[in-house]
Amino acid sequence: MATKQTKKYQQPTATSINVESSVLLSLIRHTSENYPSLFSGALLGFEDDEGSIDVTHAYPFPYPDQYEGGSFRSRSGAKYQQEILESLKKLEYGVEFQGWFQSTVSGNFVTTQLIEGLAQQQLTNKNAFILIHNMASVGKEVELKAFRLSEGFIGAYIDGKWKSKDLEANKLTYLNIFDELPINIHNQHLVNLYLAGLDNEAKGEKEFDVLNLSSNQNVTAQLLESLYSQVDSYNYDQNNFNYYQRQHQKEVSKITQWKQQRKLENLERAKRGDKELDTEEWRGIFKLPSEPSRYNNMLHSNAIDVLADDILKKCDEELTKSFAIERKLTAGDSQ
Amino acid sequence: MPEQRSYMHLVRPNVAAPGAPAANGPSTVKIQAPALFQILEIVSKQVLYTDKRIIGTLLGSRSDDLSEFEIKHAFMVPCNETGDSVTIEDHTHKTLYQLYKKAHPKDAVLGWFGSSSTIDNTTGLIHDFYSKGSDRAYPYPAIYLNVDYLKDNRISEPKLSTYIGAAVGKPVSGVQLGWKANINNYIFTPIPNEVISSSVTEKIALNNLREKSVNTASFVLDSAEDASFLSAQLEAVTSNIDKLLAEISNVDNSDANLDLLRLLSNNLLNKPQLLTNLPELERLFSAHNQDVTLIEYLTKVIKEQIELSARLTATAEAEKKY
Repeated sequence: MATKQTKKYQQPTATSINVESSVLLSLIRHTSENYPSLFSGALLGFEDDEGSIDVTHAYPFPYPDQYEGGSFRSRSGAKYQQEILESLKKLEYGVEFQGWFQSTVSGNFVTTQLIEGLAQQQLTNKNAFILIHNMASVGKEVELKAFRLSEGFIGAYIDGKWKSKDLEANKLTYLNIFDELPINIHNQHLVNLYLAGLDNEAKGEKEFDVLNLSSNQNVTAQLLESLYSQVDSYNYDQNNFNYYQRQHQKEVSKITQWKQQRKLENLERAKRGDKELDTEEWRGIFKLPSEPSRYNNMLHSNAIDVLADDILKKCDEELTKSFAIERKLTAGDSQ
Repeated sequence: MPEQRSYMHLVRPNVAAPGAPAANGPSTVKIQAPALFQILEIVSKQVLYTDKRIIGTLLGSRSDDLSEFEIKHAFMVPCNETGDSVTIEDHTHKTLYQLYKKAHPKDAVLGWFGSSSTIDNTTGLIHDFYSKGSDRAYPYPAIYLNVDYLKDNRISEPKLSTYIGAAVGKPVSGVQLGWKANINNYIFTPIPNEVISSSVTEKIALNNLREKSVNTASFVLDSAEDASFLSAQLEAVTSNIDKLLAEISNVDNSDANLDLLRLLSNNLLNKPQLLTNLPELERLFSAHNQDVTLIEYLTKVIKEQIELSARLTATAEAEKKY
């Protein structure tokens, strides 16, 4: 907190992420093998001269996370990360810490811990980022995204103020907390040779699971549950805000009343030729409630938005499948 | 997949590996695709002309009866060859192994990998290193994975071969100083290997890699917001069906073809009773579709509600006079 004043937002110089194919695969293996436990870890690599970050190594933290972002600020996580980095440096890999990865289910990754960790990291290293592996489609599809906190968010974070006018000043809404970065998958020459040498292997039934009717059932239920709980937290925060708005309203009407009174009084005094009373005196008499922080509201809104998008996607898939199958079945029999 | 090769399994002496059952040694090595990619990335660092040896440690698990090895992770260990002796940086091996062990307590050192075109004296020396001492494969036999990709100093498609090494002859007793030539002799017996994917998601990613990276060294990973992945999968199925139809249209009376036809007709004839009851089927489908639509509708309402609330709050706060 004390060092905050010296920190300033710096425009990141790396605008895309290059991920080695081995990193992609081992990351996905680790997160999906351990699902439903959530895991995070360190991404190591280097910045190249063409404005992107090359990720060459990924090391998961030893223990699963109880919530997203839990390991980023923990002492054991940081220590593990440091030890890995030192050992790799001995191998003459010019790698540095670049960011984290985190497995999550849909919008649940928007936690204060994750954001706090990422914000602190971005203030020390302007190119820090986070890879989010969305487990909502585990076993069906790979959903991996790279995020960085936006300029507006970091601006507000440095000021530490989250009132509506601060958000407005930083042009920050719940929709632009994060900037998404494009991810490029890079194959080493030898890996490419190997891949080219593989025969086109037949895909198994499991890989087509996305095509099964109702294959999204469990995950949709889980997403809806997450949505409920986010909406609950949102409402809790909103209640506080509504309370503030009502209090504010009350005070404002009191002030207007007082002003009205003072105005009449002054008119009276003017008629009598007396000196007018100060019309700004109300500032000392009434105390307006101050607006509560919009921080939690913003995070919950963002999580709800991501969750809603994922649920809509699952439902769209389900409807497509359902209609296609129904038409096939019923048409086949009527012939 | 490389073609299935046949191997002859012999009973070998296992002098240096007392933990191994004498009767049946390991029969397969499974290499998880991520580990293989790591290995390929490490060995491709090998400088082409100086031909410096690059080796590393293989980590993973063994099945209870030691018939199966599964390689899950690999890291590089620096080593230096000078004449007929070799120095391996034991410390690096140890630290990296311990760090990996923290996150994967069930895994152990399986052996090592390298990329040379021949098995020579040094191979034996390195194998000796991995077969003895703590934090190495001991008391189980170590395996050796070789990636051969240099042909006359030109890079070619990497060939994977796996060996299990067993010491022969009288082991040297007493304290050893460094890994010098002729401490133990090893027989390297080839054992079959296969590359596997341990989870479906990883398999999908690997397929994705293979389809997209033909001719290019990198591609953009797009994580689709819409149902484009679904339609890609549907297209894959359609092309599979087309292939099958093409296959069926020119079948002969061979046994394999008859089996295929039998399988297909059995699958098509096995129809649940429900599918013949058309009105009931339609009713169920319409109920299902309505459920899904309702979820969509309510979710959209929540989404809009949140946006509305954010906008209203911003406007209300901006218009406040005091």
